[in-house]
Amino acid sequence: MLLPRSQLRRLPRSNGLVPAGWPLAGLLALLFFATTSRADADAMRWLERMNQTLNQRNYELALVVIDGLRNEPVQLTHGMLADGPATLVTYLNGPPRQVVRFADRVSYFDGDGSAYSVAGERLSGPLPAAFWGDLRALARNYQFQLAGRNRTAGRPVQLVRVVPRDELRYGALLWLDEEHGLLLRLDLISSQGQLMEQVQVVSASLSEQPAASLSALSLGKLPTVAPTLADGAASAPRWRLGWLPAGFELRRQDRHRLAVVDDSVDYYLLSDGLTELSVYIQAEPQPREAQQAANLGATSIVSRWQRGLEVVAVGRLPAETLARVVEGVFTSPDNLGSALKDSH
Amino acid sequence: MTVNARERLSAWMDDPQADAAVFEQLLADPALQQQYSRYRLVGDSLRGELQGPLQIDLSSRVMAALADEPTVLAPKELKSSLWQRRLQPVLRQTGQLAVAASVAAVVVVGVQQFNRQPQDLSSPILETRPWGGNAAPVSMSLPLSPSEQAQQAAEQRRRLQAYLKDHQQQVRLDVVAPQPAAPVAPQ
Repeated sequence: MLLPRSQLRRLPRSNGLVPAGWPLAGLLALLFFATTSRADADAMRWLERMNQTLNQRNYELALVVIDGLRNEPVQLTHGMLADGPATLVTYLNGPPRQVVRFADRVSYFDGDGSAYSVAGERLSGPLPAAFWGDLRALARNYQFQLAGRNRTAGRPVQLVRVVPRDELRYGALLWLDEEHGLLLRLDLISSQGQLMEQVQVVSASLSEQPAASLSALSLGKLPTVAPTLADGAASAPRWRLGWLPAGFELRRQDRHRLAVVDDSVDYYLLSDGLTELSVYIQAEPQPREAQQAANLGATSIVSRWQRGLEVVAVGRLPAETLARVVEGVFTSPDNLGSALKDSH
Repeated sequence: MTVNARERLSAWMDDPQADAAVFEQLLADPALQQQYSRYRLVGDSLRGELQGPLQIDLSSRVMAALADEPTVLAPKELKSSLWQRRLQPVLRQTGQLAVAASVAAVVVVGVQQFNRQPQDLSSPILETRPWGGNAAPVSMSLPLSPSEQAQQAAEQRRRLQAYLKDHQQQVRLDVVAPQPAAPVAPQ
């Protein structure tokens, strides 16, 4: 994409496992790796159970999203209808907001009377969409470990740790119901062990038949699919993202207009399979705040202005990581020259 | 108070028999005592055992947080070497700043309502919606200070909010599931 992959991977690779002439150590190392890899496989099997239950069963979850500032109660209902799976997410506080995944589209009702649909089946809600998707995409940048048993939401659970391969992103602790692998609690944890965000299920029920609220869904009641820039107006890359955390891949790029910022911005959406990263780049001759950072729960935002270029990175990632991404745009050759050309 | 101390405290609350040394530590360390009361409060609220409405007086903490804030006339450009030193303490202060920032967020919303002008969104990808339905407070690394500094900070905050909203929107539009083995080709 924007850099050869060799430059994206900065982490040192491990050398050979076994020094010559140390048969005992070698044997122990082999044993260690054999057991850890088997434990990893067990953890993967638990995640697959969760994935199957999330995708194929009829269930209803009442959960609370806790991110330090807000406690947001949410109801999540999933069912297998005759036409295929359907999901209904209802935010219980404030103006009524809902997300519906049904048939070929995901519809967002935003509480101020507006609503739109997006073609596809990936629902952006209180739990990471990756848990419903292909787990192999997750496995590329994260390792899985069993982490003992516990109890939550009144149920015995198996704990599975989702461990990032570097300290540039958050890890997760998944609490999976021992009976069917349903996700009952999710902790998002920084590399220092700090809890960044938590989703706690308070009641979960599985049923043979899909809930009545889902059976009442019909395409006629859902908004039509909105046209997006992704349908054709994607622009050629203008900027180089000089540094990205390993494993982040470009999902989309375009040029669009923000609601508050007057000019349009060049936009890059990247993902590592679990979390997304947005990068906004804009030639801005007027001096702005040199650098600022903020966070909202696990979501961080870092912006920086320098010599006519403003770069903003947003994502559920540590602010340090975002700051390096922003830095990479400035240190990458060509970018500043291009910005000067833009402003004259 | 270290992360380790917090973890031990949490473990001790689950099982007081296991680690008796924590109790001694708790008696000696006021910071740990506050952490303990917060854990208790969280636990009680999760179990629904709180009696009546919460009586928390935030005013003294807001005053204290504001009093501690240094007056910075213009935020300096951060060199990358300074970055970690500057940022990490700031992020740790989030808890205190969040209270002050939520006050500021109310101001921001007020300003937005007041100054709302029709905007020509000639090519909106989709009009963005408020983050989480409401203007949620954003804890800032910017020092809060009076007069025009506050106004400037409010404008910056408004911009950051716009980016946060847009990010949420863009993630929703990312509808194609990631493929398991398709690295992006280098250019």
